[in-house]
Amino acid sequence: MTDFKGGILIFLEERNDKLSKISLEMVAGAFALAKEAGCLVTGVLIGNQMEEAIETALRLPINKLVICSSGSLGDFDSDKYARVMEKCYKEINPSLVLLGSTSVSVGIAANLSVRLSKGFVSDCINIETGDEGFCLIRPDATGSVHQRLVSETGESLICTVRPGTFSEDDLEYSDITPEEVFVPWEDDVSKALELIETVYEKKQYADITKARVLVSGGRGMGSAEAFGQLRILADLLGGEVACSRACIEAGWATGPMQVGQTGKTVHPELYLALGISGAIQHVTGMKDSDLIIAINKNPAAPIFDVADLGIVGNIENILPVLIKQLQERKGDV
Amino acid sequence: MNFQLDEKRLALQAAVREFAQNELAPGVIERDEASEYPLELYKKLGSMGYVGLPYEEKYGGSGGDYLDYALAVEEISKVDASMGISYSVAMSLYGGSIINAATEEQKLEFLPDVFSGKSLGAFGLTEPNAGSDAGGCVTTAEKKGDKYVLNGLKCFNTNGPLADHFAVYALTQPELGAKGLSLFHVKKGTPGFSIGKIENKMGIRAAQVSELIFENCEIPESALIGEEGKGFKYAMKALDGGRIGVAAQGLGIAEGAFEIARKYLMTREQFGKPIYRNQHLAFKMAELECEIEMAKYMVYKAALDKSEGRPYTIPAAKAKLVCTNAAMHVTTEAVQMLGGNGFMREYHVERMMRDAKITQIYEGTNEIQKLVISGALFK
Amino acid sequence: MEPHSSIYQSTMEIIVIAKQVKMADSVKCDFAGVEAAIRLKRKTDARIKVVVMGEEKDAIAQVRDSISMGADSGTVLLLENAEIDSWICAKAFSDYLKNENFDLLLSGSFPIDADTIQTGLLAGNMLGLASASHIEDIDTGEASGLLKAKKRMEDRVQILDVKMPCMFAALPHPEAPIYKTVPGINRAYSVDIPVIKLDLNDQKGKIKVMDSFKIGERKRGKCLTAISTEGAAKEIINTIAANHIL
Repeated sequence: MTDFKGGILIFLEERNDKLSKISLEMVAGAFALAKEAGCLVTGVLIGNQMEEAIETALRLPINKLVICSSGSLGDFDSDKYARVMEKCYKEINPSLVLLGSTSVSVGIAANLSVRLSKGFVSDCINIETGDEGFCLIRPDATGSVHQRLVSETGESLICTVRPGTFSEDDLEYSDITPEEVFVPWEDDVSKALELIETVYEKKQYADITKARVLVSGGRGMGSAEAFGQLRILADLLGGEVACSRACIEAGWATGPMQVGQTGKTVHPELYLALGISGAIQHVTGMKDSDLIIAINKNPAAPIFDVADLGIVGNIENILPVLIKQLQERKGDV
Repeated sequence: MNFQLDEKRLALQAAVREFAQNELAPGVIERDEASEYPLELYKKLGSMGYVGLPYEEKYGGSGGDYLDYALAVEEISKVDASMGISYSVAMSLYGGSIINAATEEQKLEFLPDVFSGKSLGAFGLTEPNAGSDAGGCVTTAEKKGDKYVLNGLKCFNTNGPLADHFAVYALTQPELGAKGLSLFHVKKGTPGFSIGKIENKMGIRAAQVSELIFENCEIPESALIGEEGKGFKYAMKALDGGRIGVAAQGLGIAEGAFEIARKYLMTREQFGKPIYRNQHLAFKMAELECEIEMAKYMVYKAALDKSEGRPYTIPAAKAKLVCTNAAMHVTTEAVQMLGGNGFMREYHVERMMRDAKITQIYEGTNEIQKLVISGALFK
Repeated sequence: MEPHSSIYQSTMEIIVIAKQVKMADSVKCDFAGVEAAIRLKRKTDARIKVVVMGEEKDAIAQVRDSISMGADSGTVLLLENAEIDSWICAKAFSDYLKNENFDLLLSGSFPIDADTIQTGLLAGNMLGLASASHIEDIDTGEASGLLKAKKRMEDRVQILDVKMPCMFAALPHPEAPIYKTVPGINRAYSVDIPVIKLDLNDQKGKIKVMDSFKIGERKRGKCLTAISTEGAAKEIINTIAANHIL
């Protein structure tokens, strides 16, 4: 029988000496699960020059914090990080290894999975506790069905979890400092993979499948100028601009921005559908979004059948006001 | 009798379709409005081997057959009829003129550039006083020593302003009329050869159509293609192939408009239901669907007749007649079915209707096609 | 496009793996890996072999499409039943690849699209290869036997030097599609594509599907019709904030 005795081992990801948002979400989620399962939570922080991140980590509601810091660990190399995680795993013997799904974690998780010969489930959208241990929920490969997955062998599992699954707002910082453990790093001689250079640059085209927020325009935007306004709204919401096929045909947007049957399938935390009728070809590509808000002047537009909040109104009027209110809000904080 | 396209042809068709959707579709309305030809896209098609489909690799072609070529013209024309005709003129009218009559040496010199898609080809037959009566040409090619001197004016030449290679028909023996017509290859930039008026057209506006002006234009005698006096025959043979291209273009236009109408009828709601639920419209679409399918088999058959070495003059004329009439009919109905929206540029069908009109006129008016077909009937 | 071997450098052997996912009425195919391979082939002498796992007809079609785009050859690993554990899948790939000679192993990057990132990375690690994900661009390295890879992270780009043989999960480039060419199509329909049956019966997986449930159909939420412009904007912002997105 599987139990949760080993507890949860979380990979805490830091970027530029700050704990990443997704790591905080993972801790929030793990805390809730640990309470249910009656088990412990251990966080692992790996990197170089992480004073501020360590400080934040020490206020997290976790039981133990493992720190592995070294000059050669600032490169996010999956093999190195997986070796550290392997060491921690062997000490702690967790029932679940939890990582937020990022460009860094998935490589670590796969590497660790093979090192430990333990199952790896990626892109989870929820975790539950049950009779068979931790139960991981994720969409199947077709994307149309959610599966509950558990360990086949009763052994522990490694999983990566989608951003936005757990909420940072649910995190309760603690007065109780977790046990701090320092793990030394032994550099190896042979380097099959080496970081040569880090470049901080913005991508030329946005990858809408990775965006947490999508501001998407349809034929109802009316013109290229109006469509151009969506960039401002997207920036205010920390998101990207997407569109329906009609905008590609109208020449207001380019192929990579299209959502739908002949475009991309997205599942952002927020999908703002502006002037999109909601034909099935489009909806297929975005119905998995966490929150859908739609504005359309046609009350019978099918988009309202899938929107959590629908506004029947004129986008030309609402958009500038929405932008203004958001700008004021940002100014306040 | 197998009516199925084999896997490889289906793959080719799908590949051209993908290119047309992704690369030709965006900007097609703007190009029509500005009368701008996307030469880079044509060259891109060429770099992937899609130009030169019906011709052998040694001439720069892709080693396919005429049906492959017709499929490509069809797919392109579903999205951009201007690109469709430009491609067809280069392949069938220019290419067909040269390949049917030239020496091996001439073919290797004058074809690879055009068949590989690196440059466009154009066809100079029509003149202000020689349209349907192509034999009424007055452009002359006077032999002077080891040169020919061209004088005259050709009009309505598709690709004129953009082509590097021209198949030009001129009279070496003006006193013989049509029997004195000869075929020449002329290169862009030859002194005495210039591009005249560029036409401002009702449709296929992105295609560049112009006059070709010859003023004491000297070309070497090696530029004579085939035999003197056989030019009219060569032109007719080239046009036979060209008619298959135009038929494919018309078919594509009809299919493109039909699909837009079909989708529109499913999404547009009036009186509480999508308008395809109105029997009149659904029945109309059923009729148009049949018309398109009939046209499709006409042009595929003509293409296969040519590819497989059977006589194809009459099949090509029939295909051209049927497909271009289908194009005009389907696009006109499509505009009507889209209602007010059908009249607006952004819905594409009005452009397709404007594009369809010329297909009933060029490369032999549909009346000429009937002349050809009836001519064969009453022997 | 036949790569010509130079006496100074041998031809790079690239293998691309892809696993198909059967949908209700179609098959999801991941081309990010083969596209990355073709982009690299444009820069250096390379030979690309595509290995597709799926049902026969669809997998052969994907191999043909890949060759039409620029790959040189392909093989099908026949998968008769739809869903298998990614561990078993990765093991099947790595067992096949153990007997293959290659410098670079490529897969796609998106778990949902065709479940290749997990499978690809697991296979790479099972083969003991240095592996990296989210690779946007690959170039030949400064020294022979080295590749230069550009890894796209959320906030930065890392330039990596990687020793071959290695494995990359490649990112797609929707802004630069790779089209099928006529010579490619001709090749695709003339080469032999071997189909290898996988014997997975004694394989034990790591993950068990307890149950699955259809994603609840989205229901119509709150729909406001007679609201003022100011009110609409406010309602939108409040909803976004309530969902912790602002």
